[in-house]
Amino acid sequence: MKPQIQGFDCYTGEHVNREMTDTEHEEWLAKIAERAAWSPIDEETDETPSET
Amino acid sequence: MAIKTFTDLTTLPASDINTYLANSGLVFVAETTFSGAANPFINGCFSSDYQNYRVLIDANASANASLLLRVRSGTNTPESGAVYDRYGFRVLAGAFASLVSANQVDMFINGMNTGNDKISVSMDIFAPNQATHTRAIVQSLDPIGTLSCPAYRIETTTAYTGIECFASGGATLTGTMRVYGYRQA
Repeated sequence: MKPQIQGFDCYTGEHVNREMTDTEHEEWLAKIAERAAWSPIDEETDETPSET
Repeated sequence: MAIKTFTDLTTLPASDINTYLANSGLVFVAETTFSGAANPFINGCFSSDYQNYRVLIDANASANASLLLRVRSGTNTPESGAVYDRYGFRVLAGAFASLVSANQVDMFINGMNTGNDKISVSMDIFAPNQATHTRAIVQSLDPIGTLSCPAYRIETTTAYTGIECFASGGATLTGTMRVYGYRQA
């Protein structure tokens, strides 16, 4: 399932809530890969929940 | 206007009401609630209405990931250049770690996971809609108790109009983001 595009646009006063298009999904995956390649995410720590 | 004490049957003139409104401090601008979202955003929240803003975010992610922010310009264009100079620190279990790093392509905030405890973020952002360096000062608590306090200076003079958040590694986000303006007389 592709992620949702969600947000609020103050210009139109409308909430946006729709599924990504195939093109948007491909672009998003490419951006995520590019970001990871550009900067290894060394800031992250083990975010294992301490409680459930 | 100094604090004014009203008593029963005191006349409340429009001028007093307007003065109180003008000096009312934080004013709600916009919010978005999201679930399974790639990059929840608020477009058009930064304008000439206010000079400085506060952004509050509660969120968790579909996998362990970092919360990242970008400002937007125009109607909806993310600032993805290597223009975010980062300062500050984070603390986990008493151990300090520097967050200082120049020329980032986004604003790292803190970690997230899939648990019920969401990341809590409070960010004051200075002059985002003015033709000067935008600055942001962040306090955040992640779900395992990491306090992360990064600060950013965006090395452009672009007048930004909006903000988006996203997660590292392609995780999706669930939560809320709200923007308030600092009203000033």
